[in-house]
Amino acid sequence: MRVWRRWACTFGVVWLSLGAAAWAQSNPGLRIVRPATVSELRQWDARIDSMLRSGDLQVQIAFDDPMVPGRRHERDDQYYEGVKVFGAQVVRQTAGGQTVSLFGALYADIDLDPTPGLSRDQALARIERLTGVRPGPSRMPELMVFPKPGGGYALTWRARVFAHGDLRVYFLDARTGDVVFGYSDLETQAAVGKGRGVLGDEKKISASSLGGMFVARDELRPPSIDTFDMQGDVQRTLDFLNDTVGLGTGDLASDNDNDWSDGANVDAHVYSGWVYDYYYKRFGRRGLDDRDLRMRNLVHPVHRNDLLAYSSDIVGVFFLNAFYAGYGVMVYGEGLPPGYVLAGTGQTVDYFSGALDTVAHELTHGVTDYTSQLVYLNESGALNEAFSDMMGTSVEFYYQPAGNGLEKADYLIAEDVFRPGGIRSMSNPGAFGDPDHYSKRYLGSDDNGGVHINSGIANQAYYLAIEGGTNRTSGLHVTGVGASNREQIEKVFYRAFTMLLPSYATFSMARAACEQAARDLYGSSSAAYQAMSQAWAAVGVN
Amino acid sequence: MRIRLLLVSTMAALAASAASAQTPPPPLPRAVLSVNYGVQGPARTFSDTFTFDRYLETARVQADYDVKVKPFFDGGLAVPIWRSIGLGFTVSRFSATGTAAVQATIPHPFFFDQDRTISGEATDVVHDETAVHAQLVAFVPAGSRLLLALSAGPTVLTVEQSFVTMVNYDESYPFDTATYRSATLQRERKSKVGFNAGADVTVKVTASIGVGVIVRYSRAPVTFDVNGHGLKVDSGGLQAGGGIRVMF
Repeated sequence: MRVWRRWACTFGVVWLSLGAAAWAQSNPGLRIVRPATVSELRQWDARIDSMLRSGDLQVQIAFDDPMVPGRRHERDDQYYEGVKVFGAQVVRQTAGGQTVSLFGALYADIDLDPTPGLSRDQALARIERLTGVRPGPSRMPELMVFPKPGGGYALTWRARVFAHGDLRVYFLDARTGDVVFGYSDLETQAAVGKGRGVLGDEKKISASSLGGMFVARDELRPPSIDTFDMQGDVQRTLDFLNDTVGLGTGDLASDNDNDWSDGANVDAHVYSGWVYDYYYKRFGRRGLDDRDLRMRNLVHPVHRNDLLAYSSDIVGVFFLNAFYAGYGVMVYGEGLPPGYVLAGTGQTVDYFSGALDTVAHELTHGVTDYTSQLVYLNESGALNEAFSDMMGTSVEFYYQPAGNGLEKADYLIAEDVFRPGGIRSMSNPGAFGDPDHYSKRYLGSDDNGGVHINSGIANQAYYLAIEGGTNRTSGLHVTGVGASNREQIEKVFYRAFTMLLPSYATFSMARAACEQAARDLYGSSSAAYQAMSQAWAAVGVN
Repeated sequence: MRIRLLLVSTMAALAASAASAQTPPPPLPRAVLSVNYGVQGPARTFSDTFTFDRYLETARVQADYDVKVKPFFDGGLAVPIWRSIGLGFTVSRFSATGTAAVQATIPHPFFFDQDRTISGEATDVVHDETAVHAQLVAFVPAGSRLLLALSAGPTVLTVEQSFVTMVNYDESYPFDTATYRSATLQRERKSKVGFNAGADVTVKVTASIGVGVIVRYSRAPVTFDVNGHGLKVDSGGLQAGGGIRVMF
């Protein structure tokens, strides 16, 4: 039996980051090299020299210090009978041939037969069976001594394989081919964290690790979804929107431990992902342009507490608004500081990204932008707004339980931001002074011809087609498809508004397009078609 | 312990009975070398569950191992040392490499409490047993051609077992499902002292060659330290087979 030199170590312990901490920490053979005194340094230095002479250590790289003249660095790997020992290395700094520092981790009491029972080709075949990938000639498995977590050592074949979206390192037992150990070697990768939203609810957030931080970049969904924290820099926000400056990774919302606490950032980032998912799962749509356009959220465009320092234009746009700025960019307003309420309604206004329907509403403007391009004026503008309200509400019902109150799915718009009550109602537009019937439509020029007002007519049709009921103005009754079949009406409106309508659509065209879409999807004798036809009739659109 | 005492008493009684028979028994061979091949059973199962962290929640894995009835072979030597009592030494080997059914629930990357269930089969799950039986043997000649041997004693059972230590799966957007790909196996080996008891019937074909059948029961449950906890794996069982006897 081969007996390995047993060397004792009485030096202090420091943890070295080796990438797979849990693996190395638990091997009792681990000897940390960190001499605490000059005497210890000399002892270790002599031992390292001895190991280099015997071949137990081999110089991997040596180079002159680029920062401190006269210094030299040497990195030595541990070998056992000519086989490299995983993670075992010492790094020596010298000045004029004299050792200045020494750090490392070595393994003692290694005792194994260095002859593999499994050939390299057999190991390769095993890797292929395990991962479905056969590494090329430059990625051949390497024979390596692996320090086992509980103690002892295994002769292994180490292979690094990129498969299934991950770069994994495998250690195969060189005798049996079993996987002894494996870990991900992907250095920058998606990192699922958690965070609390504006309303304090906990949710998962798809972030990324970057330079020791976590940033709001979603790498798990097909489009890149980035959330930028503008940190109240309204000028930079404006410059970005005007394309005079770009935003980089340094502008991304970030967190130290991936446990996010800025609710506005969390909700903007998480809810945009949810909306992408909704469109994908419900309609098979891949993002705003159906080609996974990059989505960028801008949060905190102004300092919330400096409300009074801004002009009314800025307040209107960046405090009391959220908007789709084109090219996949959404901007979420700050709302009002605590203690402030809206004149007239007495409502408080929270961060705009805190309402799922609001995020979905804005993103749907992006969808419209890439589909029917409904002109944001008069009837086509009202249809544009209504479609965003419809999809906003549909997304709410997809993710949230039906009911009244915060984070409940209902037919109110932005009720989680404008509290209490929201800003519009689809079930009763009149409650907010909006028309529920074509005969009551606004014909003035304010609000681009009443785009946020007349949207109530189409919104009421959407509501009645699903839930059924009687229009308050016409008194006409609609038999809805029922809440459990809401998917049908969502699909009808999506088809009509993204595929069938022209840019200058009218309410009348919208009715015809919806009926056509219902016929296309479910047939003219279907409940969906009947509900659609009745609903538009009930709101006075012929 | 009770079982062992009972076996030893039974053998002692048989030996005494054989020794006191009125017709002198045929002389015992000086040694009997035996080689057997047969099956070991019964089939048995055992399960292991473990967890790991995934997407801020706990993924749970259950592996159900199946040790089927499979062939064994053994070789041994028995030597009478006093009257019809002897000592024996047998090494038997049993291999039941097979599969393990793996089930796991994997958390969703986007949502809390929306686990995805995956299942599949781990292949090449090794279950090998190497048993070294030390035996006290009672030889009971039954006529000129038949030799009965009853034996019992301690057994050192070495079990080599593969355990599922990780489940590998494929997932892709929208991550609502995941698909089992493979399981990572870790092979462990452990020994335990148990007991064995058996009976061997040899039919002499010539003075020094015979054929025989054997029935042997051995048991030594081995507890492995796997996935951070102890896991008991039953080993041994009932072996039934036959083979060649060489008598000296």
